Amino acid sequence: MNHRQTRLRRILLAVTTAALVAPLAACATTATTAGDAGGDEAIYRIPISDPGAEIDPLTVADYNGMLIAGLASEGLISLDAGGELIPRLATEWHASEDGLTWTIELREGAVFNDGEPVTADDVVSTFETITADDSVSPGKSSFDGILDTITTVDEGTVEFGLARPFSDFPRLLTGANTSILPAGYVAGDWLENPIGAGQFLLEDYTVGEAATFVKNPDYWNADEILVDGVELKVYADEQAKVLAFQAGELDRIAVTSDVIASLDASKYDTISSGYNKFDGIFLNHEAAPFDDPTVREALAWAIDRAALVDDVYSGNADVANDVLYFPDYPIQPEGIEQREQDLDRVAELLDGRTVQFAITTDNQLFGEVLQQQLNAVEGFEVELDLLTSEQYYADGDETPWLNAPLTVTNWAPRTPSQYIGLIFADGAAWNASHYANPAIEAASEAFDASTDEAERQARVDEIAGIQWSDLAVIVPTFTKAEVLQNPRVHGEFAGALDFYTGVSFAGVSIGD
Amino acid sequence: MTTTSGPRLDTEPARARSPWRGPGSVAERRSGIPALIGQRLIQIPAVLLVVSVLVFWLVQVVPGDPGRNALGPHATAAQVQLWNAQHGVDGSLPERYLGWLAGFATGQWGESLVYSQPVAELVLPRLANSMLLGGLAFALLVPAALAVGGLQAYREGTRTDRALTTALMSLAALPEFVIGVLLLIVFAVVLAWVPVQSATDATADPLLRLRAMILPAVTLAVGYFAVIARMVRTGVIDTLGAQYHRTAVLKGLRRGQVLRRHVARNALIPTISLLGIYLGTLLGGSAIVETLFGYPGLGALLVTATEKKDILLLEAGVMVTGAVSLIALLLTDLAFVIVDPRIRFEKAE
Repeated sequence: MNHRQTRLRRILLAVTTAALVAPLAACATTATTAGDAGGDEAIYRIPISDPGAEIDPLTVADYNGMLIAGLASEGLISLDAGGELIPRLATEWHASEDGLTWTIELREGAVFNDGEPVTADDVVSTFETITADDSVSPGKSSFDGILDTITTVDEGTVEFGLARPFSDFPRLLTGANTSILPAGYVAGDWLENPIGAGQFLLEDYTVGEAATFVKNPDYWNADEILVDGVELKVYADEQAKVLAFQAGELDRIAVTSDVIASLDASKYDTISSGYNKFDGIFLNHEAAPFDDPTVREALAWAIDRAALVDDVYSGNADVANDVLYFPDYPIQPEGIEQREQDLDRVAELLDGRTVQFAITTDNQLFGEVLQQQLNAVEGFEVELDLLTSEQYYADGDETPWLNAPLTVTNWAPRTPSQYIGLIFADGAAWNASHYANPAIEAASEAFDASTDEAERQARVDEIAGIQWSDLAVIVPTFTKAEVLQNPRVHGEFAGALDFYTGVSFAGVSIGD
Repeated sequence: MTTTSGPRLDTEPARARSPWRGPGSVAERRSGIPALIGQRLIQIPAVLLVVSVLVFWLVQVVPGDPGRNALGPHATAAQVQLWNAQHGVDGSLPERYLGWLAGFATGQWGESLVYSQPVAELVLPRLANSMLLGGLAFALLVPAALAVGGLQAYREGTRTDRALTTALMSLAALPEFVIGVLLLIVFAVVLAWVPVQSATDATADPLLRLRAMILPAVTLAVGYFAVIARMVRTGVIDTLGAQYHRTAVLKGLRRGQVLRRHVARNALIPTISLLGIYLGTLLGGSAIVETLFGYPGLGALLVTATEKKDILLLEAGVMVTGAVSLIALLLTDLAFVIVDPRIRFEKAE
């Protein structure tokens, strides 16, 4: 090789190397490092997905959007991790003797982030907006047929007049879309003026990137808010989320089978809070083969619930028994046999028949595991009709999630009576089972009207017994929220980790 | 002589036609450029108009309903209908299209159905981010590919050539997603030189911005690297074997002169057309890379717009990325005019 060739080759190599390495070398000298986002400030960093929807406390339906709105706003009551009610903007609540009026006392000194006090007029206005005829708030359905009037008693007291007694009414005030907003608030421009009486102030929100919050110094319990702010970072890719947590850019990551496989969980704190959903197997009583009670029962006995807990939820769920009483609900059904896989009973019920059907769902993992389980049981030939969420929840009379013979749909915790009104009642909006039984509706009304503990227990047992035997929905598990958390975080979250019943950072701090 | 009603860019090898008129002079070729630009200024809006009709029509087949997307599965059908009426998505398709077109043409791009923010405020900053990222990727890609392709050509048939060919083919076989994850593990997790999520830093000061962009840019560049380098290698090998190259060497020109005046100019002509296409693609954003790195570009935004049937956002995004791609192609043609001596403009007689 002559001198010119050698020189040319060196030049070419140098150009290539410089083009690829120089920018990275420059990055290495940058003052800020990847893991110290937030500098000296105690910022709690949470990964979220793009809400893909308008952010407004009154109308937001997406969990990620609820979190953005919920950090800056607050409701009257929330739930703790054990399912108990926590006073927030309300301090006391009690029902009249006939159960038709609930009186709520508001917290003195609570102010919106524009400095105006939270008054009874604001509460009345908020609930009138949610329940108005032209309301598009998803929260409206919780009050349909229950809430009749909302009136101001005095500046710090509100009365909710009910259409029928509803002993769990305070729990309806813990749901999404019930944050209190100033009187006269009109939905639609919340991001321009993120008003609320929450623990944080929305500092910046950039679509697809992040939402940053700073502590609200005027929050009624500001002394207990020990972090300087919260940052919600948008991730569209699960692998990137795991890597970001590994790199110390995030303070928590939800536990999934992929996360467990990718991370050494012993390096982090594992924290858990209350139950956050159930994946119900809804059986359409008007469609074959589930118009046959023996097939429904055979299916319920064929499911290996413990295996679902391991294979679908990585152990982060409890086995359920086809009744809609989350384990943290104060009253639990008694005297009902726990269902577990019993193949002898399945064979007896099917009596040599082979039933064929498809599982219709947008929940891929659950659908696949359930399909595998059932196809391993003699007498079942099961296909999987996996749809996107848009397909599954499509509008129209033929929407799959309300019409297919067997659907798997997840539901967040609600009061047991709400489920009956929404799922089990004749003509209910989301009666995917096409089911009706006047006895369960009557028992539910009796439960709602009663404040006597023995009577309520008796009605719960009755309702649960009907649910267990009629099998409009098979409830195989109740799922819990569990996250891995950066050890730099101390303290416990008062409520659910996914904040579906209200955000609370009270007592949570960040430090080495 | 071919008769056309306007200027025509003709890159067909001159000797294939008769009578052969020889290469046009630089001045002659440059004189046709304004007419070429004028012609494209008519063609580009026409193409975009057709694309906009197709997008508006095709997005209807995407499952889902904007109102349902906004309000979730537990809103009633009546609430969904009310939401759709409030947001103007319940009219007929032609009526809505014409309404959008009139607005778009007059700069009123409307408000995103998904984000309830002005479409222009969502699209234009994202487009700028994507163009910046694509520009950086292009700036990394071109010199590196030229250098490697050139080196391979000069070392044709040697172990170096074969080793580089194997390496490039291996690189080409790796999906962008895999390359990106590997880069993130090394530079973000192990070395902690760069953040995993680029979004926050991508709008910060220039150094932080460069830091946020470098891994996505390298990932993008790697995806095209092998093809460009291969094209350069072929072009240079062809040129090195050409008569004019031998003549130039025999004339005693210095190697640098031969490289600049004879090899580079002729060897790069086929590569330029490919670079033009890639430039348009890179500047328009990459949904995969932007999603992986959390980079706030247009690609990821348009994926969401499609999934959620946010037609106003999608149309605006498609229009601007389409315009960018078509302008990139125009720039490629202009580059051809300047570097390719065979280019001539034919006019009606």
